Amino acid sequence: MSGLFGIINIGLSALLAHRHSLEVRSHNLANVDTPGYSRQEALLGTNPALPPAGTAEALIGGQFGSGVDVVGVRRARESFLGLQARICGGSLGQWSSTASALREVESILAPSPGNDISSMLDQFWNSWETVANHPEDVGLRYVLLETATTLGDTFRDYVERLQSISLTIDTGIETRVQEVNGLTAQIAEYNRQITVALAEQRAPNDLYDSRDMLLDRLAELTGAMPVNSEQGQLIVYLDGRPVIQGGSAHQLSVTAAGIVTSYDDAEVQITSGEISGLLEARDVAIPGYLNELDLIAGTVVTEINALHQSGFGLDDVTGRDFFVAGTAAADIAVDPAITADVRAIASAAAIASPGDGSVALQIANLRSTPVLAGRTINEVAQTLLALVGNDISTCHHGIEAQQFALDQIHRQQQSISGVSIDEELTYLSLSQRAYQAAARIITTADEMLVVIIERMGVR
Amino acid sequence: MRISDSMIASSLIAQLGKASTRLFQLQEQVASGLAFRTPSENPAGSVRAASLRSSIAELSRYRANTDDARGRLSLTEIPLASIIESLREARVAALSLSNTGGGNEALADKVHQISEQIVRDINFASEGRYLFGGYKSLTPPVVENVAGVPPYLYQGDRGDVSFQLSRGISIVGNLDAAEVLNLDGAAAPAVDDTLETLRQLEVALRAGDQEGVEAGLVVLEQHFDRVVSLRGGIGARIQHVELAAGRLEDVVLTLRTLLSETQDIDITQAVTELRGQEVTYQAAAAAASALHRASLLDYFI
Repeated sequence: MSGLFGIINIGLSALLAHRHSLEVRSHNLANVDTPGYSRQEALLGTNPALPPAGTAEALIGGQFGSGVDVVGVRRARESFLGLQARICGGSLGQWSSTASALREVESILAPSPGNDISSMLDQFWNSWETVANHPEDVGLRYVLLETATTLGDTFRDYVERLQSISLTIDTGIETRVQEVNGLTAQIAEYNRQITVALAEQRAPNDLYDSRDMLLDRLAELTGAMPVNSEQGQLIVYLDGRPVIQGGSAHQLSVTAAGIVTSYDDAEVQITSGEISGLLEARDVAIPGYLNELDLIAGTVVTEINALHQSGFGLDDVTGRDFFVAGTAAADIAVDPAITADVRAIASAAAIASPGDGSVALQIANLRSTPVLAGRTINEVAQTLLALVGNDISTCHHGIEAQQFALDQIHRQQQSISGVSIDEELTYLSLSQRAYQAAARIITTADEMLVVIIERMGVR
Repeated sequence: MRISDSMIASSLIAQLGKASTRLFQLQEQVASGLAFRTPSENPAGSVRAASLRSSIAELSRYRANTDDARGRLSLTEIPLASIIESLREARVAALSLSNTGGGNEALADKVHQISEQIVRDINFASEGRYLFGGYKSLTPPVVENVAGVPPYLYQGDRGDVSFQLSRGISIVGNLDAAEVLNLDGAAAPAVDDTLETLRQLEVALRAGDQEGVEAGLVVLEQHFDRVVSLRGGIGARIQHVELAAGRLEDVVLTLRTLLSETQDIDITQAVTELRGQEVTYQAAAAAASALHRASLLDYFI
């Protein structure tokens, strides 16, 4: 038994413990809106009990409690959910960045219904048929020239703009790689601080929170997952190579060969996250569309030139091309001879037959001729639009699914780690009462001491 | 489940976001009248719509071709009718002689003029192109023969000017001078060309050659019959073209309906859904604000 001073000590321990607890609650309330903050809790535990007075301490256990103490500050967090959130975040980042790049492609290739390459081709064929019906009419030939020039311009414009999207994506990748380098450096710094804090027996809860946020963003960008995430010696691998090893970070850099790590100067394949989504759009999707455009433009040029060479113009010259010979969408253009004089457009099948439009009609009928492995040029053009549409809609489905999963995980995380004002208020008032009670204990013990000192003492 | 304040806030934001996204989509649909505007919103539907638009463009072109064909055929019919009239007048002139007997300069001159009128008709040009010369549309189909017999020579090429009425189906939109006047002697039974017949008739009339005139009349009759039947053929072709035009209009209309079903929204349904979505949005907002209002802060401390 510890006596009256012991009671004062118990009161004091309670005062200190509950003040500490109040501090933690206040910290929670203050950070109710802080992104990435995990609710903290002061863990209270009883002090070791004391043996009765006059008993040897060596005897088992005490009977008389000696008050309360804060044994630790716990961070409410489920690390499994953090892992899940990062996996989903990586996929979500990948789908979203591909989708936003491809939506730009779509806005170029199909800005609005009926304003696409298939419609352009329809107009082009119709112009040929008009010339076939009135081969002597020079005015209608100008209309055809105009349509053909527009078609060529459109193809070249498509190629140019798709290439400029690729360049924008390059910048996007560069920026994100810089961001990754910033993140890894910061995480390594946190690792060092956490190691120090742990060595000093402190609980670096707020450092954990900040580091978790950075790790979330890192996963969003690259899909990289941390190993041993609760300790100071955290390691993050990317394509089998460490980007963070405890307190040191390895920088990534964008080179012509790809993304290279400073760890061993080897190329790193990033297969998830925003960077991977951008790489996918730049290296797979857009080149695929450009190939299709080349196929369409190349076929238009070859097929029309073959027919056009067999025909005669109003000037009775044969064997001329309509388009400048080529196979790529980037260099499709009407032959200068045609631009200089529309009478050179070959519509007749024989010499000196100004009223013959049969070659022009054959060209117009290319619209329904399956020249591309059983498909017409228009069908291939429509397939290209469908390809873009499908790619984007696949991304959207991916985004929707991952977003849904991520929302669920966030909800669970917030359920565990989020601050509830009502809950904090309740504990706050509980701690307040406990604090008041502790103060009362001290007053009471003090009054008792007064009795002993003033009434029992020598007068 | 433990509910934290950030949960309430983020789920409120998520729900309002979802509701307003849907609201925005519906408003866009109602405003544009289109169920989808980009291929990504409905890849299958947009390909179907593109293919329908392409078909409509093609068939509309065929529909326009029928106008071109009809125009050309109607233009052909005018000189043809005039030639028939001329041939009839030539017959009357020839018959006048057989009644009176003796040479008749006036009748001969009349036949000569008729012959010239026929040449003018057959050399009829519209918008700068000759209708009866086949593909040689920039040169007159018939020119005077400096040698004298036959009086006129054909310089066309009998080319068929055809108009496409649908995939692979065409109609010939012209007649050729050679065919009308038998300038290349293709008619059966074999006879001289019309202008040569008229020349012989003119010579016979001038000479008062009764037998010559009668022989000429027999041949003239054959020419008359041929041109009349050619004109009938033109009429039949015009009718054919008009039928095709009507059919094409029907098909285009059907395709437009299909296109509309593919890409347009059902406005009633969309507006109803829009109203419903507005209610959902308001309900979400109201529920969230109720949850937000309830706080222990109102009750103690």
